[in-house]
Order: sequence, then C-alpha cells, then structure tokens
Amino acid sequence: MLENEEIDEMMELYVDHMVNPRNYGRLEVYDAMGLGKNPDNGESVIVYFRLDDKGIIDEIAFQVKACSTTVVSGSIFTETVKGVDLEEALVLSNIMLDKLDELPPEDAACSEIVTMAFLAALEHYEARKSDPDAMVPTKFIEKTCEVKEDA
Amino acid sequence: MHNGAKKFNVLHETWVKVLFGSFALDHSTAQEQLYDFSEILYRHLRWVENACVNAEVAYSYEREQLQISARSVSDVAQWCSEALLELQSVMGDEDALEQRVQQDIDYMLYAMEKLKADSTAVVAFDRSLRYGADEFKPETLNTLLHFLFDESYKEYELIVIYSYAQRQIDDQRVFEIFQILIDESKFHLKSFARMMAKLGILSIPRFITKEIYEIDSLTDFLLAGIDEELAAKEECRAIAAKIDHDELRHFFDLINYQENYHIALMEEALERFRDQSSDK
Repeated sequence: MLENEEIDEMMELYVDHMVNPRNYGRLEVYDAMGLGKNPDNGESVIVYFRLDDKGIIDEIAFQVKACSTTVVSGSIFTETVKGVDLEEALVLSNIMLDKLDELPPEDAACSEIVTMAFLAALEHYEARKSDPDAMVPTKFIEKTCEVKEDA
Repeated sequence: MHNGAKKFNVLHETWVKVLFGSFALDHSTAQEQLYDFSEILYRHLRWVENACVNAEVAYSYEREQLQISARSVSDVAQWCSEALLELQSVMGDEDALEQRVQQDIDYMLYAMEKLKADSTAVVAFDRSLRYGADEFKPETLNTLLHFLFDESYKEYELIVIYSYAQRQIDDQRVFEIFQILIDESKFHLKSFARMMAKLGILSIPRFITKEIYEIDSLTDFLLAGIDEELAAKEECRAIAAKIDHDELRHFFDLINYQENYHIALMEEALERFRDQSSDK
C-alpha cells in the first residue's frame, strides 16, 4: 500500500510528463525505428532514434496510440536512454523489463510496450547495417493491460 | 488555393492555440470571446480543407507538439496574437475565402491588443490540483487526472477523425451524424479542458498522426468507437459514484447519459454502411 506522500510524488511525476511529454513526436531523419504493440487492444508505440558520431543516442522520439500512462512511460524512458550508447541503453531496457512484475498490471503493460518498441528499434538498427531498407520490426508485449480497480 | 497545405497546417495550429487560450481563462467575457474566435477559426479550417480537396491539394492534420503556459490574461492574449500573426503571414487574399480569413484575423488581433492590458492572474497552469476551493482524496484525484488527460486527447482525436472522414463520404445522413459527433466532442473537450484549467493542469493534446486519422475502414472504426463509448460511460459512472463533489457528480452523470445517443448515432451510421455495401 502506498503512503499518501508517495501517491503525491507519483501524481506530480505523472502530471509533469503529461503536461510536458519529453521527446514526443517523430524524427524525419533517424538511424532506427521500432514498433511495440499490445495484441489484445491494438495499442501501439513507435520509437525512433539517431546516433551521433560517437554512437551516443543523440535524438530520440516516440509516438503512441495508447493511454496517457503510456505517454508518461515513453517520456520517462526516452529521457533515460537519451545521451547513452546502445550497449547501456540495452542494459537499461533489461532493467526496466525485470522490474515490470513490481508494477501494477496496467502500468506494467504501458512500460513494457515502450521498452519493446525501443528493443525493436535496436533490432532495426542492427538489421540496417547489412540492409539499409530492412523492414521496421514489431515486438508484442506479454503483459495484459487490465482495467484499474479503484479503491 | 496556392500553398493550401501550409495554410491548412498553420490554421490548424492557430485554431488549437486560440481554443486552449480560451480554456486557460476563468469564466469571463474574454473567455467567451476567445472561444468564439476559436470556433470561427475551426470554420476557416474546414473551408480551407474544402478548398484543398477541390483543388486536389494534399493536406495534413498533423501538427507540431504545442506547449502553452501563461501567468496572466495578458500572456494568453500574447500567445494568441503570435499565432494569429503567423496565420496572417501565410494567408493570401486571392479570393473571397482568404479575404474573409484576413478580415477576421484583423478583428481578432484588435481584440487581443485590448486584452493584453489585462493583468488578471491565470491559474490554469499552476498545478495546484485543487478544484477551486475544493480538494479531492488522492485516489479520486488520481482517477480524475487519468480520465481528463485520456479523454481530452480522445475528444480532440474524434474531432480530427470525423472532420477528415466527412471529406471521404457521400452519404448526407452519415455526414450529418459525423457533424453531430464533432459538435458533441467539442462540448466534451471544452468541459474537460476547463476542468483541467481549474485544477491547474491544462495542456494541449498531443497531435494526431496520419496513421490514426486516415481510417481504412469506417465500419471497423465505428465498431471500435462504440466499445470506447461504452468504456467511457462506465468510467463516467464510476467517477460520478465515487466523487465527493455535487457539481462534478451531476456533470459526469450527464456525460455518461450523453454517450447513449452517440452510440445510437454510430449504430445508425453503421447500418447505413451495411445497407450501402449490400446494395452493391
């Protein structure tokens, strides 16, 4: 059970990222693009990224066809991986996936779909090394986006 | 229309900016005036859209991600003025439509100049999470915030989708149904956004991508839309049942009951699509 103070902090974080989602949009020029999908309800997330000449994620953007919690997840996730190299971004993605079971189900599905979109973009980046026209991969989530039961 | 796609794009942004500028203001003459201006700009948008369709010019409902913040009525007037000036710079005066838009902009800019002298504070962005003098329990507030962010986006999405879809259909009654649904979504968007402003969390919905508003199958869209209306009804009913606020409880009941007619209209449109496909 969360304390009121923790609820306040989470609400503040949620509002901050909803009012001003970081990196929301699309990149016209990108090194890779990936799609995450929820097979149950058709919700989807697209992630684009571009690397600088040192291999650091220099620009990243995401778009969602999903709920506001997914926008917040995308905003926080892209902020986290912006400025790191792909190896570190992969480590951060795996940490995120490991923590999904600690989240409420509806939040877990939102975080997973963003992470899967990014992992698909990493696959796309690798595939484009040998085939610049490689198809954009789609990764499906395993968590179920259950309706929130209010107290 | 020369450069129609650019004009459409700037007009779309201006409509959204003036609309949310109006939502930022408390109940006042200025709020009503700005809202009226936004309605005029929406009509301009649809007229320019029609001109693009007639001239076979490709146009898009996609736009930049927009951020609004203001501390006073004067700031809101400044924000609207800048948008209107940009629109003025891209619109020509080559025909009656463009001349009409230019004349309207002139008047709106005049009104904004007068409003710039108003230093009344704006609370729409202060993130107080208080509803006027009222405070909600954390779990009620949490539910309300999720609902408002999700639904304000969805109402804007529906306005865009139905507006675009009106250009793709021949059936006069379905056109009317879509117009009713646009008008209803405008009322819902206005209600939700004003609630967000009162809570200090007003923000402009993210833009709608082509992948979302260019509908392959209107039948599938309406079927999914009926499910969404049913879900929205349930959410409104749940909020009305739990919220400790008389005015909002009645309001969420109202929205819940309004969805019934939306569903009936969507079923009527579906029926007409089915009849048309069986006639072929």
